[in-house]
Amino acid sequence: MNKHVCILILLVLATACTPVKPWQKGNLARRDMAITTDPFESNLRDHIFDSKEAARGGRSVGGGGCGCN
Amino acid sequence: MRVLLATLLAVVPVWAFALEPGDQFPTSVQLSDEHGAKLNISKFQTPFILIDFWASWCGACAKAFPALNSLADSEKSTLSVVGVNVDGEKQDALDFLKEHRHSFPVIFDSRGELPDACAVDSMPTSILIKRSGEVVKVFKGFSDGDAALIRDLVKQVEIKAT
Repeated sequence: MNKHVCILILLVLATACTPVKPWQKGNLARRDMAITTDPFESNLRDHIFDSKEAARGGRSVGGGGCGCN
Repeated sequence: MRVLLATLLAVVPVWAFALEPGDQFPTSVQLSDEHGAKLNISKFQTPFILIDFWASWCGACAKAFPALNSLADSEKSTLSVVGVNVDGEKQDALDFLKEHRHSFPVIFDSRGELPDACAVDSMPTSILIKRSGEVVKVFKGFSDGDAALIRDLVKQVEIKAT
């Protein structure tokens, strides 16, 4: 019985999870939401990453996930 | 057990599928334009309508504006361009519009009713429809060749229709 109650509570809590729609990502697109807000530092980090990993991209998503900024 | 199943069904998200060519666009949704007047997509009389979903914070949406202006100016007789702004704050959009020339009407949908109904899954998204509401093509994101592609599509569909 306790097991069922626990599952029930977890399921009810799961209802709070909701996907963020693409047009609701305005706040995520703000400059201060970037992992590194300083563009020079960001470029430097990217350059170091590219050199060390021989791979590029995928560090962060511009424009709050819309892939447009 | 029944309660568990019912709860499980309640938490399963309702998946909406993005519009595809041949689907029907929800033309009956009525939204306000810049001047507060109600505008309905079905009121446009041109054979084709291009609905562009954009937001002030979206860089590619801003890049798409000159192409949309060009389409709206050069294809007046066959194509109507409508911008659907999806900013949560209308003022953000109005500030954006002061800085970006637009020769097409813009309607405001801060609650996201229309993109929700169309299951828009990326920004910007442009949907080319016939006047009947039938979807011709969905453009996700923006690339430089889109305007030319839209012109070609409109011509092709027109030729097929005649």
